[in-house]
Amino acid sequence: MYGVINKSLRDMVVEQFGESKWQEVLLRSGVPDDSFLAMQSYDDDITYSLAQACADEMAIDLSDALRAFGVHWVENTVARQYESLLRAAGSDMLGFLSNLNNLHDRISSTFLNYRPPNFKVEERNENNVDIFYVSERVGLTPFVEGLLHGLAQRFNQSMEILEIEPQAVDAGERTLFKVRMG
Amino acid sequence: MNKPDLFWGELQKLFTLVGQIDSDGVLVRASPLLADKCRLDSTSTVKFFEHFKFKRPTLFDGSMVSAKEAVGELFLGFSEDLGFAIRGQIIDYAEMGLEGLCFVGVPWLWWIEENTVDSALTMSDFPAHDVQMDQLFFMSTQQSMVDDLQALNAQLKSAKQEVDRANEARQKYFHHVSHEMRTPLNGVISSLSLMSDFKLEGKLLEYAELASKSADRLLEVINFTLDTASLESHVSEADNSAFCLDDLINECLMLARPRALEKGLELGRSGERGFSKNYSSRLKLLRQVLSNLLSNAVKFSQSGTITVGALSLGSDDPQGDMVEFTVSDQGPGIPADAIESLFEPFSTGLSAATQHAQGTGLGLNIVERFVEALGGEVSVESSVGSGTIFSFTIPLSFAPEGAVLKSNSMAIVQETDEFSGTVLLVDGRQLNRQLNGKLLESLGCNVAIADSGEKAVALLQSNAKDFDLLIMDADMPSLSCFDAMRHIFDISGAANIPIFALTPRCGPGEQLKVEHAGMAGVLGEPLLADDLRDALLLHLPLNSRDTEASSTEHLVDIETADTGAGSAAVSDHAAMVDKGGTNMTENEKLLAVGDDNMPQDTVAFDCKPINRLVREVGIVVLDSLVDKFLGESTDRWESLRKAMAEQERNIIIREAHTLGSACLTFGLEAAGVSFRQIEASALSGGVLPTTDQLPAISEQLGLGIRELQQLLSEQRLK
Repeated sequence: MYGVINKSLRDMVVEQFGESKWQEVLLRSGVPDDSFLAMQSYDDDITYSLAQACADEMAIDLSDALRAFGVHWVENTVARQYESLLRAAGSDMLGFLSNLNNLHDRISSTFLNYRPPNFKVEERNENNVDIFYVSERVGLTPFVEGLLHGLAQRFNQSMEILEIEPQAVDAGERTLFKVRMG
Repeated sequence: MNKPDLFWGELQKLFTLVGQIDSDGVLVRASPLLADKCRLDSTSTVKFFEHFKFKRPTLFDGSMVSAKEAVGELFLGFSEDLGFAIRGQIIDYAEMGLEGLCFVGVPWLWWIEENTVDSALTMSDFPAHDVQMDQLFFMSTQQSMVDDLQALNAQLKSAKQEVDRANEARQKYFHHVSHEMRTPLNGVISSLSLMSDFKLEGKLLEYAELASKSADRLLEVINFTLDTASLESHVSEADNSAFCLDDLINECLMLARPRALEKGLELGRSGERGFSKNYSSRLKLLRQVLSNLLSNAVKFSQSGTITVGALSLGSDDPQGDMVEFTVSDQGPGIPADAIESLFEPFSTGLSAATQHAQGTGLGLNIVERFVEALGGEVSVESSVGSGTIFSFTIPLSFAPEGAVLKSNSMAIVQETDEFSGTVLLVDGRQLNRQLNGKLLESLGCNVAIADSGEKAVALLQSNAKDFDLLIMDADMPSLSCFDAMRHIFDISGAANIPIFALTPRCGPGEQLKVEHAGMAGVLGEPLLADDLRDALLLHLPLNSRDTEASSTEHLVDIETADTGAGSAAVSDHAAMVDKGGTNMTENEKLLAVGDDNMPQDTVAFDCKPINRLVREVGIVVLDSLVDKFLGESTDRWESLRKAMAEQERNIIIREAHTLGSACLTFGLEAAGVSFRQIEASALSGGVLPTTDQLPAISEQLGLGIRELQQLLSEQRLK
């Protein structure tokens, strides 16, 4: 994953718990240093180790930590660094999610190691929407759950995740989020 | 659907901004986004090229003719009123048999981002082939990368500063601790050296020798630490001096000669001689490298010749030369398996043939470090039984024309030559200050005086560059010579001033002690003009002077001593008991003093020092100095007597030191040696001498003074 993810994780811990807690997380993770460059590609294991260390250090489940991270990612990292793109990608949550693949496609033309997830939005009826999340990576569904909550807050929309349904897939992860928009 | 309509539909799939412009420049049809932004409706007339200000093409003037000429070029237009900008190209409809032009393009994202608060544009306003969104993301990430790198840079800078601070503190600590260790160790070495003056036998002698060797080795290790630290310090970076290469090599050979002679080794030069130009480099490092290599060669060789040489290899650099140095010996050689680790600290490369010569194994490590610091690499060739050749090649800059040379020890000095430079003479004894000051002036030096180590330090702190050389009494009572040295080393610009210790103890132990303390060397007491001249030759430039000029001309300005009336008091002492002759120097006699009172060959008065002083400073000055000495002697004698009675060690040392020094200066040999003996005994830390010795010394002194006065009378008549 790109360094921006690891940096965001660090920022979340530092902002909420302070630098010393982050140093404890870093020590626990076994990751030698935290000098991440935003758009340098790092081994996924580094991100997983840091996330697991965060959970262990806070004595919470990994999924809870990833959910919190998803919210932080939208509210802080993306909003701070990619506000223009965020605005261009949509004026509401579903519009944004619909454009997200397009945005990822464009990013892929510049960053050749970029392996973004894919989102598909299907409106079942006026308020109920199915959001399909497909990724080469495994274990990040809770992060996407947090991300959806973060987007809802960002676009000032109410959203309730009714069901999270893991779906069979040969490799990686595919998850259906059944949501109700307010 | 006719052709233009079909064409119009295809264009809108490719571009979000499409506008048909008639031959009058009026926008007659537009894609939804362009129509919206241009507020185009059925009632309005929009002159397209007037609606926007065009930044590009550069030569575009807004006319249809100009627009047609710019077909194929990039059009960048903006409207501050609309808060909108366009980016695209013009198509000439004439190619399709129609009139007018067509604009195809997309919103100009960068202008809009820069100039509007909320453009309300979305990704759908930018077709997939348009790279502006990619650029926007790329620029966002690049900025993020720049921020990251700047943050990292700041962290690295901060970390480096922290490391530098820690390193500096560590170096200061090392330096301080090493000095603190060296000071008491010098005391040990000095005491052991003094012990060797006594007749030690059997186990006592064995233990003393073992202690002496161990102390020397420990001192070498401490000095290694200091040398290493000095190499890393910034101060040494600025240690560039101009020098004559021939003189440097000769000087190193001269320093190695005594030990080589002891072992029956021959020393010689190889390579080039008579270098036409002087060089500039970190002279201290180069000198130590050559000295270490020579010292090693002497230490490990039992026979044969040791040569040192230099060869200019030329250079592409017109400002300097590459110079190859070699030091070769015909010693036992170094086993092949020891060569690889030879330069590692504590590696000695000892073989069965060389185990007799113990060393710490630090000298070659220093050689390697210093050669690297000089820009070269040291190499070694050796074969067991045949000898060893150390060599290194370093760049040497040519010294600027007229640069003052640091090393000219082997310059042929004429007695008619005089030195230029200012010498700071530091001595608590007024007599010595006056006498030695005159000696220095007679050699052409400017002389500054300090009567204590503290005052010398203060003088150097105020302006170190005023002084070219220091001569310090090694036994000053308050701030000792070695303590003063530590302060002086810390003074900016003073660390490189050569310092000589003035001491009656000129044995190898004392020599080693001062050299390890970082001093230039030892000057024996009483100070002899020849010794002084030899010392100055190493460090001060020579000027030729008129042979008619007399050294006494330099003395007239010197403050003359008062003519105290104490001579009678001293001269009342009883006659001297021993009038044996001797060929030994004063210092040799001092070293020869045993624990069985007076050596048999010591005389009450030796006329040679007085005859020499008459030549060097003249009878008038000498008379005044002798009078002053005799005037002070009564008080010092009484002070010494009282201290001996009360067993006050420090006062005994001080008074015996001063009296001994003065007596020997004026040829009062027996008394001088006796005072030195008292001083040595008190310095050794053992049982203090008692007043029982004083009557005998009083006799020696009285007899000596009478002979001294007799000789002075004769000299006056001459």
